[in-house]
Amino acid sequence: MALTDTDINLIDTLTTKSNQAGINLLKDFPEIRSESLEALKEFGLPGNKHEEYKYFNVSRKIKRDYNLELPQSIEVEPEWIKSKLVEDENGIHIVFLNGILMREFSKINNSIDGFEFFSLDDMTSNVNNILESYNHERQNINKDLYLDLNNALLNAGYALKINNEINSQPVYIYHFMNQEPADLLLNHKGIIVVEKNAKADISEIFYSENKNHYFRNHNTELIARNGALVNYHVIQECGNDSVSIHNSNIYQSANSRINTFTFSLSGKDLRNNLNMLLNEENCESHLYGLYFISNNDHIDNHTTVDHRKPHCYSNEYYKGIIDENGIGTFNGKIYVRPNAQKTNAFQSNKNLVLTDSATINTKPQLEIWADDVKCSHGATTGQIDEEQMFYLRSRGLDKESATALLLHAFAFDIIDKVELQHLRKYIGSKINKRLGYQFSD
Amino acid sequence: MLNIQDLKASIEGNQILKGINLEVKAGEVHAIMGPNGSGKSTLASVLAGREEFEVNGGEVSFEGENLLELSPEDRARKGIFLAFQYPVEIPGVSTTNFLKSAINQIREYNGKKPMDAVHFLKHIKEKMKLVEIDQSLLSRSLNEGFSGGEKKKNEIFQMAVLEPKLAILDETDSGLDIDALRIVANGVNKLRSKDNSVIVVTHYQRLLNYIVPDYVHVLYEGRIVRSGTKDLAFELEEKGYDWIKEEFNSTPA
Repeated sequence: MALTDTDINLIDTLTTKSNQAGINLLKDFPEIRSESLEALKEFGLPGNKHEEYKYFNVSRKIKRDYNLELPQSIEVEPEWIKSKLVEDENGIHIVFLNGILMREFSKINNSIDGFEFFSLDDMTSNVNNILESYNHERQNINKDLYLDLNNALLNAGYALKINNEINSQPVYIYHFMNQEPADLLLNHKGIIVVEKNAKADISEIFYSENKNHYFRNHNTELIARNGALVNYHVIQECGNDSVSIHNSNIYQSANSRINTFTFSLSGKDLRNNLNMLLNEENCESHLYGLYFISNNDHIDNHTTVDHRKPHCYSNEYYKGIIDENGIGTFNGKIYVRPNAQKTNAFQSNKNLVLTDSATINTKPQLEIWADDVKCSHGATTGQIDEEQMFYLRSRGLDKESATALLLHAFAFDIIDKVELQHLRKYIGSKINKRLGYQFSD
Repeated sequence: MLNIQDLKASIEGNQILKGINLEVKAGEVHAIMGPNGSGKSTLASVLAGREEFEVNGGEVSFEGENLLELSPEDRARKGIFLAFQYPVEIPGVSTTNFLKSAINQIREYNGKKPMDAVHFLKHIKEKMKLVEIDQSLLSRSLNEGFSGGEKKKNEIFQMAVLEPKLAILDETDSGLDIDALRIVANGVNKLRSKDNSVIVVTHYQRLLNYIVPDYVHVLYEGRIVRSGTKDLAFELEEKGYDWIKEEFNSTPA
């Protein structure tokens, strides 16, 4: 499919703007940017004719006159920030506002053994070491044109290295968006390396006020070395006039174990591409997801679990509640490559659809080339059980609280899997508030 | 307390109740018996407000008020309790989880102050003893993996906690062994008072040895075809339902 002049002009315009903004965070790795630009000029940004993006077409929205320059001074109430942090005294808290690292609100301690955090614009050799790792790993990944856009227009980011076998301090990274500036196109990248046998609890928490339009194209690259144990959490509350795309690539080495959690609570157009690459033997991956789609929100979760070597285990469990005019997609791919014998791969997706105008598209997709494997998948879509509803009402509960109770039970199946107590409480209270749940446990 | 007049109800076009008349006064225990498919459970469900059934005739008043206009929760708040024949499983919801809210929504409806956590706990403990039920069962997901007996005990426990004016037991004896039957019956008997009434829906006379009814009614083909005292239950136990059916079928409609 040939690109139209308009498509090419769009890429050129964005590139020019990016150059004018004068940010080139990958300048020591020019090939990353040039390869991505090439891909964009060849294929353009995916629209409704693109299989992977046919339910999620924001190619028209990107034509807006976006701002690629990050604001240098931001007015923000300290209390506004504080009220949105996880109440964990022991945690490392890293606050970004509109893409800018806010050191005054962050609690970062680089003198802790085995913990290194940098803003990507630090441009030091430490950052370059981490980028080097990423540049090596990324050769293996599935191509995605929004990831290319992120590489081409990158205007913010961080690098994080954890080399700590004790796992004493959870890391919380906040990505806040407030009312300023309008029409920001933010291409943010986080590169995380968890070293051999290290343990890490990492959370990326996205929160936006609803007021202004923005386009956030986020990318997280997580490299887990041999024997690493990582809990990676994503909590998303995006604006009701926003576009958010989050590409996550997770590279697993031998004997590593990764649990990912994706909580998507709001967003006008929100898309997650989560790719797990089980690159060596004896990897274990658990992918948990919970999405709550209401208003006119559109939330898509696309996951890939790529079994490339024998003796690995993966288990994926995503649940969703779709209310009002919400639209959602779950697409779960499992690849079992020819030599990935003795693979165990499981997947389950369960949805509750609460109104006649809510939509969910669910698509399990297993491609198995090895013959000695155990794989299963299942998807269910239903409504609130009428029998359960009648039972609770016959005990004196009104419809609203009976509904809240049943939805709570549905959702907490996933929330209970979060091991970090402070975080579990943080997510739990958000969900309960959302459900109008007022029961004591 | 409860006055049913010429009650008719159908489901998906099938007429199940064809004109029920029944009066239950405060303090009375009524047993409703009858062969399978006679409409016993339908009657219990209609009284509790199950929406699949269409009421297409007759009236039901509860303490002088039109019961049929009330939502299931408002019926519960007015003091009607249904012990389910097949209690549903609700994964992720425990009995104690919803009972506190239930009790307080009932209290609020009746203009009473909410019960605080301490009193609630005391209240719960008391009733646990009554039906010999274990705390661990109450904090587990409702009915998930419960034995038949545990499910029925849990129903009676909830009844004891909510202290209804009118309890309707829908085949609570089915699937119970003799020990569970005794415990369940004991729970019901403790609730009996001059102000409270019970409707026992059952297929067998066995339960009525433990919960002694004031009146026994036989339901057949959607109508009460015979009423009597507890002796009627013994007669049914001895002779079965066939003679009732024959008698009914030979009477011109």
